Amino acid sequence: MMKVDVRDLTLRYGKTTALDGLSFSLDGGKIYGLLGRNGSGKSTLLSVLAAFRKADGGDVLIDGEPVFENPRVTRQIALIRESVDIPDSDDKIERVLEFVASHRPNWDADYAARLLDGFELDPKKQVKELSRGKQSALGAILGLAARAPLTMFDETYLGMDAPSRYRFYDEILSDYIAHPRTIVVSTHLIEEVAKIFEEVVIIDKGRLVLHEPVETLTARGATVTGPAEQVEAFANGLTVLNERQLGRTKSVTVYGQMTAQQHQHARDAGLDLEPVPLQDLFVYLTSKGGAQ
Amino acid sequence: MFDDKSPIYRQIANQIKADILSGALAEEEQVMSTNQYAAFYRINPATAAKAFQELVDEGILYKKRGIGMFVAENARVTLLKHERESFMSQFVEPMVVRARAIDIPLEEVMEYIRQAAKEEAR
Amino acid sequence: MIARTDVAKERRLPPLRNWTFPRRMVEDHLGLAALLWLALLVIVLGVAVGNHIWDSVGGSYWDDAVSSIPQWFVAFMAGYVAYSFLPAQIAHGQTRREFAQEALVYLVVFSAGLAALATIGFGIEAAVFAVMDWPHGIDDGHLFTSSGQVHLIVAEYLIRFLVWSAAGFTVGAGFYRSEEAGGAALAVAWIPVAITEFAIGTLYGSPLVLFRFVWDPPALHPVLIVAIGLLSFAALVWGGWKIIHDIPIKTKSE
Repeated sequence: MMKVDVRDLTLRYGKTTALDGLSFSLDGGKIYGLLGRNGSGKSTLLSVLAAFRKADGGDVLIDGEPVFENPRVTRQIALIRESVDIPDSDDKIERVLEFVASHRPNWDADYAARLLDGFELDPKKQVKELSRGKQSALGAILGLAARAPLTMFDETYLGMDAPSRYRFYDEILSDYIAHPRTIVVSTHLIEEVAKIFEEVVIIDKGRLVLHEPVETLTARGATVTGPAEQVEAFANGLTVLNERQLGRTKSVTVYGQMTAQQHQHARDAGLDLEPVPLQDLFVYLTSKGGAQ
Repeated sequence: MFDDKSPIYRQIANQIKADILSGALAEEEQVMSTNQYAAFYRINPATAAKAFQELVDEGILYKKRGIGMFVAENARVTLLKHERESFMSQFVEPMVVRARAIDIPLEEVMEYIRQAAKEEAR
Repeated sequence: MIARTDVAKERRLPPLRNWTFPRRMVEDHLGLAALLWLALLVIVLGVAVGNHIWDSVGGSYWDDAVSSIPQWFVAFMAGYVAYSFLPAQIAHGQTRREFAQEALVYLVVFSAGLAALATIGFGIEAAVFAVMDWPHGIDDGHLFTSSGQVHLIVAEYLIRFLVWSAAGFTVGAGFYRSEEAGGAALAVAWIPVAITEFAIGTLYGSPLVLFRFVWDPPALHPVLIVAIGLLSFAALVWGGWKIIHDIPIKTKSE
């Protein structure tokens, strides 16, 4: 089911190394979040996965087959980027849909029509007349209605207003439930999207930081809140990500798995233990001197 | 819906447990599928599945292949047993801590409870 | 858990090639070409009438018109197709090799269609001139010497349009790849075009026409001329493939 194997992937743009020996595997059939800061190599990685670019070194195998110039595989991959990849922005939306439909064996025209309606796009409008947000929505629609077994969205939401973004996440989820496939969403609006992910891949400076199920990742730390002395005692010896204090109440975010014992200890001391938001973990893991 | 106080799958599991305890979900009744749960709450089906798996492991739910998830026979009894076992550490202990924190003598607390017991006896 | 039974249904085999791209391109562009051809014909006949009134009709005017303008049209259309459609086709799952094959079909069919229009134009001009009793001599520098030599007319315009369209396509692909590649393509692609035009004997419609003041191309056998044209076309196709075979599909900001 569109298993993705990336091995030692390397790509350089002149002097800059965009991908630096990147390796990971996706089982497929899940919704994956691809997180990384600007310049982390997210877009380059997705380009290579979609055979838009050839890597300088390493392999990309999808269901065991190399991707580049392999029609059996590329036919089943859809990469949607922030600007819609269409031949002519003078074209009307309906023409664009025809164009994409001719390439996509699983294209669902009825679904596309429903999506156009839901995102309030007029099929008779020319693409160049659309606002940035509406163009992004068009991209999202092309990606969703294509029902490609490997569908990737590279920050497709840019320019969309909040209601459109939430509609987009909802559609990804509900269509994935109805038509399971491998979906990769690259984003840095992490908190908004996190709950649709099953697994998360974090990359930084072209290398893998981690690849885990979301629950494992969010359990990697805790936010401890309570009376300052107790909180400090509890956090003693743990890796502290950040601290906040208001009067005598202190809130400390620590990195590290909380054992059942620690949970009990916190309860006994009257402390509140909460999971760490994915966003905070991401910031920590990709900052200078972040996790191993 | 969901807060960020604990992982989502735990909140789902707790909600199902609460429904069973309150009688909203009866024994041998079918529970919403993971996909229905996911679509309704707008979460990944795998998260719902994880919650269900926990409940299956605890003997609260069971799976009928090809049909779906059902509330186990005696689920309510099992839950009550768990809840009773953790009642003291989960509710009474924090109550004691809180009472001390705001300077309420434990005697007062006990008196309150005795009153409640008397009303129950009537 | 998640129903994975629909997975089997979703994994259909890729479709047989539907060749939508060259079909759409040929339809759109031949349609446009036909309209322009009609306009050109009307203008040429208008010029003939004007000459008749104020001077006299000396011979075919269509031979000049159709040898000086259409090749630029063909080159630019092919360049547009390369620059705009290459990234869009690849972005939606086609391979570069498939795109190149379909583009080749487009170039051949489009060139053939235009060659047909050029030939029919001669036929119409000949018929009109015959009715008006005007002479219909053909200028030097063509494969054909009279409008009746249909096979020679078709051959000349076919190889001309093949070569010009392939050059335009290669330059378009080059510029998509990078400004450097585009510049390099431009610097080199005109050579097979010039060679073909030299061989045919006309250099109309290109800056190369200035060379005629310096050197008159020798009259070659039509078969040799066609062979030179086809070789030039093949060279340009090879050059185009070199540019396309591993071309990266860029984001708008690159």
